[in-house]
Amino acid sequence: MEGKTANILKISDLISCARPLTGVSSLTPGGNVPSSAPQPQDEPPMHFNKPTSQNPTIKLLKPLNHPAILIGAVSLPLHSNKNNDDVSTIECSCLQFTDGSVTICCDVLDFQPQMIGPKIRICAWNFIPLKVGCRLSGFLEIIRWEFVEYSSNLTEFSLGLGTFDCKDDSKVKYSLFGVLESTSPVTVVPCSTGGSSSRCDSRNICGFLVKVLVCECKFCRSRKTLLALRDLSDESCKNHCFLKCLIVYFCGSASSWHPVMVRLIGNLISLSGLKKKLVYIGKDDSELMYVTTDKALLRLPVMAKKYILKEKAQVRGFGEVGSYAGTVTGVYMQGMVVELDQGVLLLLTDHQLMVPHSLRVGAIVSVKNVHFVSTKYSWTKILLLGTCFITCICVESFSPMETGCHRSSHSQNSLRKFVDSMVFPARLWVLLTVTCFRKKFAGILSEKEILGSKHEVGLAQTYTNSHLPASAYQMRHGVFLEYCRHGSCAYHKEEDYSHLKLVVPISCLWRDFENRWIKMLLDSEDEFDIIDSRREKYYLSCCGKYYANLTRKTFRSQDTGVILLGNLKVSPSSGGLQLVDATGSIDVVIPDIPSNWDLKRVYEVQDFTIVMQGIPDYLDCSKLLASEPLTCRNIFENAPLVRETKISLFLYYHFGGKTSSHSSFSSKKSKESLQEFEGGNFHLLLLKHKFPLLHKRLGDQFISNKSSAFAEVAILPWDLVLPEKNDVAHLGVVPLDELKNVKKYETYGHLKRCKTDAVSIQAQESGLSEAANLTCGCLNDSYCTDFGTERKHCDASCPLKFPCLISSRSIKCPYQGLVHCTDKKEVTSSGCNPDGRRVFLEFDSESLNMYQRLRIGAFYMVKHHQNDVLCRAKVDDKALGGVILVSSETCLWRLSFSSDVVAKNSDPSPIVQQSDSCVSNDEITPDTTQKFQIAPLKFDGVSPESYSDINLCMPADVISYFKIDANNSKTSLMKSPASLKEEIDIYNVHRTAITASVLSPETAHSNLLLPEGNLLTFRGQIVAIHDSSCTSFVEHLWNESPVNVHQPILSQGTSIICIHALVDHHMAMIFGALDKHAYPTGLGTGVHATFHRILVLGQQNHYMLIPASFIEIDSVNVVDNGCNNENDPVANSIFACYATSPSVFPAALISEVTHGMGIKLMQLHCRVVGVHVLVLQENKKARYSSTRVQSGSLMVEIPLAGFILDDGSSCCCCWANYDRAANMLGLPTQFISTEACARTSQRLKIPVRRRTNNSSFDHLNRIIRQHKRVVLSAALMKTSSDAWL
Amino acid sequence: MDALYNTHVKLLAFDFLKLTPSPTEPSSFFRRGKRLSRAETVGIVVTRDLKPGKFVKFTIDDGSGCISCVLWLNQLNSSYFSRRNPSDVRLIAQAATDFASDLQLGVLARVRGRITDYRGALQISVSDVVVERDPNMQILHWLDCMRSLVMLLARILDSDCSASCARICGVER
Repeated sequence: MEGKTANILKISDLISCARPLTGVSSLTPGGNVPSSAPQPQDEPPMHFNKPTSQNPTIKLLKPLNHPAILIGAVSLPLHSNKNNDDVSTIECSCLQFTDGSVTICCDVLDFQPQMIGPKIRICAWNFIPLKVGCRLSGFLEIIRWEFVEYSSNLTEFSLGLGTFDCKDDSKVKYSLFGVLESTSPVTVVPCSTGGSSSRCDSRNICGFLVKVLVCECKFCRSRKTLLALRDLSDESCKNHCFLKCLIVYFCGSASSWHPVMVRLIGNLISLSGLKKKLVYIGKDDSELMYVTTDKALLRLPVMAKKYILKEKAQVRGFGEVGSYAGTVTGVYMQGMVVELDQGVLLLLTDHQLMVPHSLRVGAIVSVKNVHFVSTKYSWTKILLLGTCFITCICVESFSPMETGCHRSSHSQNSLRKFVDSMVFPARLWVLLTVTCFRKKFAGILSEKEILGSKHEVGLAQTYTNSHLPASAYQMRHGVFLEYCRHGSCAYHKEEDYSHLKLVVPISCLWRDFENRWIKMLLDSEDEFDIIDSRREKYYLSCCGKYYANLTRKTFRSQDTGVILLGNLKVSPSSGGLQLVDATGSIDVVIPDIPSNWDLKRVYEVQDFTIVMQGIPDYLDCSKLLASEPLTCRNIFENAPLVRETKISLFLYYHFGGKTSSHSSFSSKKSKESLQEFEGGNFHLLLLKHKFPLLHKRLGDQFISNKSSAFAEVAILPWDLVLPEKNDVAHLGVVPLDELKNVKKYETYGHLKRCKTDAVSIQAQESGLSEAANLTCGCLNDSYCTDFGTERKHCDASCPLKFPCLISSRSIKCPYQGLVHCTDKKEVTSSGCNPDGRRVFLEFDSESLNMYQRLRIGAFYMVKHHQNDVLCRAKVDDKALGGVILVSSETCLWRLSFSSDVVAKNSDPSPIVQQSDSCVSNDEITPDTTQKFQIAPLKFDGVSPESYSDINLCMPADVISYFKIDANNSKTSLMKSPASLKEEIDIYNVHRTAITASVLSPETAHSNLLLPEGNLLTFRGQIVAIHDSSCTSFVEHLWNESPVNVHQPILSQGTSIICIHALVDHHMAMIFGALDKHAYPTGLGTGVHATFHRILVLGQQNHYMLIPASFIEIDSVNVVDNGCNNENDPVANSIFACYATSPSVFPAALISEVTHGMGIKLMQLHCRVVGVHVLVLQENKKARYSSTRVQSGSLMVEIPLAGFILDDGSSCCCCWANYDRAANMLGLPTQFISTEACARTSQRLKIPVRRRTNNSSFDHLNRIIRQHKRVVLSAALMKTSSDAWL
Repeated sequence: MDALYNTHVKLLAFDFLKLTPSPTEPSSFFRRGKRLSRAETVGIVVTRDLKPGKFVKFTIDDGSGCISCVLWLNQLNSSYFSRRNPSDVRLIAQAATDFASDLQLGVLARVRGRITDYRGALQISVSDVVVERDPNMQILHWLDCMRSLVMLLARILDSDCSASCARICGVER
């Protein structure tokens, strides 16, 4: 009947259609449809061989709108045809379907061995197009089939090429009867040389191994077994005990039976016509096994039911072998990872595994003999199904969806081999890392560079190899050995892989932290189920108005379990430092960034702190919370970046020391930046000020496109002379004591230097000062020869030339240099005054990285060049204030100074770790004169002041010259070096652009009145930052400041911010009208920052940021504010001194509130007169906690409480959280946390009852114990409210 | 329902004593047209008459006058409470006894309760008593009372104005 109406389709038509289709022989609403083959449609053909589930909107397979059947025959694959040139692996061992036109791979749901050979009619099927090489092909999923003609119910099948013979052959020596336990993949074994017994001595042998569990009873051992098999019933099977494992090698033509044997796993089978042979399974290992011959027969009992093997031990995830059935929910990494049931990952990395094509998303599969590995990584926990050579995968139900077929990738690159050589948890980690690398470096590095090739190792492999412990690797021995000696692939359960961290793409990190942010807000909302009480925590008052305070939350990398990789770049838009990969960027704050960081190098950030800050807002969180970005699923998938929250996120880490590391691998090696450092003459500079980045806006006429940043430096009257590289090479280590023993100077090349030979130096006994005097003349000569114009400034009698030891992070052995006074006039007995000689550094857009790492108040050195501005500025007053263009080639090294005394006192030996000793020049406070001090040497490498590139160790008596320099400079920093007018004048003289950029163009006119006043530098801890309204600020200035500030300075439409900073126990308010991007990354509450050149306003502790003001972040406090700071006394005290307090809320009457005052914070002076609704329930946690209070305790939770408040003007309902409800009910304080109670009492001002009515609480206790949960509603309380009050 | 009706309105004695009983509802009183049933006062206890097991009758002097108050102590014997849970009644009785012992001559007490009329004189049937230790509480009470009075007057004035405006508009129309 079906055949009459259904069309018989040709496979070739289906292939040419190239569309996934599903068809059945009959359709219930039968319609007369034209009997034609499916035509190619206009829709684009599906993506061939793309088995991933990346498209969230997967369509169902398109059904044919007419009944359609296929007629053909199912055959076994032919492996034995492989010739010597074939690869050693078999691409697939699928059953084949042919209808006469084409042969394609197929899979059958209700498989019977009898279907092989005869003509069958396929009544329900799916067709999935495939591309094999360049040829179009397809894959047929046979759902329902029937014989076209009657076929005898055969139970005996010939495995070999011999003619079918069901007679008992007496020559056949061996036969087996047992339960098929497992099969190995089909492998190709190179034939041993000239084995005469081998049938195919010049060819490779295809074959696979099968394990059969046999019974050792007499009956089974007798040859009669096979004859009796036909009558073997289930009952008689029960009497057998299948325990002994035998291995059968299906080789040659029998290897075609692999797909059949896989489907028979768990069945009773009988094999006859076998030989017994000793087969080499490894180099030195052999195994006695049964081998199929041409006369081998497979027999199946009539009642071919699955024999249930004995239950294995309970699966605990320690690598036990078991079976798993589940729905395929994702296929990733070219089929190497298959996700089952949205949570379990099946690893199919081994390319020799035989995975059916029908393993598509949506299919139900059963995986037999798979290792269950419960893996805990630092960021997640997952159940892995680790496959090995005993694993078999069968599809139990085909996917109804339009998803691509599974195709094993047979690429033999080194990464693949690398992955295969690992234990399962490490394999998944490597695959995840590779995925992340591909995302992170897409477009930056080529696929080949990331993944490697057959012979070359890629970046991903280099990286993962360096992070995996030796125990993560396992030896691979080939299919035979691993199958026969199964157990070597077991998971090492004692190994812990929780230290493996995920290298996340930055976009994933963003998503993850946005989710964390939302969760935090939701949690805090749960905690304070009344929205207003949450808001109350975030708001602060300033100048009589309420502003939303920034909420801040920090996470340490240890809590997240992730690592970041990326390039460090300076953002062209904000000028801030960013860690960048192909997926996104994140702002970074690195206090100790070295001078030689390289734009092209890939840095790894292991130990970092993520700081999130933003204004809590109501948002639709459902979208974000639906997915966890760091689950394996989302990492494998290409989830799009959704940014819906208004938080800022930045990374805070230390470059050097223990806290972080940067990778040594890099695709392009950077040049050694200290090369230039070696040899030559260097100017010493003191950085006086950095000006905020200039941003060209529409209409800016004065800003050139290239200029973008300026800094002001003072030239010290000292130069540093260093030996050439060649001379350094044989210097060796110079002991610190040698500084004092240097007697004689000799010339190095064109300059006079101290003698390098350590032995000769040690022989010297004279002191340093003597040496300096002795060598002064000759050095002076050569020096002045070199810098001709400076001759007149170098007095021969000048004693200020002395040697010093130079060391740095990259120089293992310190070597000697010479510090040389260039301008004696500048150096007086009381020190030198660097203020007199100032020049500007201009940074173009390419050298912004240099600008980024400059610190105000730090010493730097720059290489001398012939007749440069610095030289001219030293001698020529006209050259003062000149501008030096800093290009990307220019190097500025940060200096620190240490004295030999200090070094000796602590420990002279590790002088190499010089960077920790420096002139403390960052301790700046507004009202105290700075004491010059040399910080003691610290070797822990964590001092924030110790981020120098180069350390100069010099005698204690000469370091005082630098002492005065530093002192003077700091004093000048502190004592308002210039008025604002003067400051702007300076810019006008030297660079109109600076002024023009920071002020609007019209303000550049000379007749405009500019604010005047003193400038100040101070350091403080930021307590709060908020946007302020422009009008209030201007009013504020007009009303309270004598400073003549005019509107135009604020008329750029920029938002005004107000910063509250705690400076020396005083709260300073700093107003600013600058652009947002003028603020440094990380500016937020809890940050210690130095504010440079801040205009002092008339009112005490009121300041203003001018366009030249610069804010430097000194350190980032990793203590949160907002929701979680209640346990931190410091944060609390700071917050308490400024944040909202009850006293600042206006008092109000309930009648006013009920008449609509909007959402405002206010105080009510009222009493609790009743309970609107109250839910009391037993506190289970407290019940079992060890801290249970003494008898009479009340162990209640109050999940919901609404009280009636009455202040005499009206009544209202007040919702209260647990603490407050407990207070309002007058519950004894020991039942609630003391801290919370105190805070609530303080805020609520609840009078303390003179005596506690213990009897009421006992009463309540009894009720709660008895009923567990009590709900009181208003109706009840109306009658009994007196009892509560 | 009038919001003030169930509110313990803060009243000074001079204001309290001017309340007029509602002709229809025995528990309602009018204060400048507004219906009240409960009141709160703060003042010095100047008289105290205790009948153990029955009641304590006392007078609060708030500086503007004296308000008579009665605190019932007969919960355990009263038929009014007989239908209620005995343990509840015991708690209520215990609370009342505690209040009574708090009420000593000369203390500054905050008293709340229902406004009642006993033989033509207004009094408060006390529901709870708090002895104030801070003398400023009395001044705060005065301020609260004056504030509520001012608000009340303002509302009356507003409504009068709007009524007269309406009248004018109506005439003009």
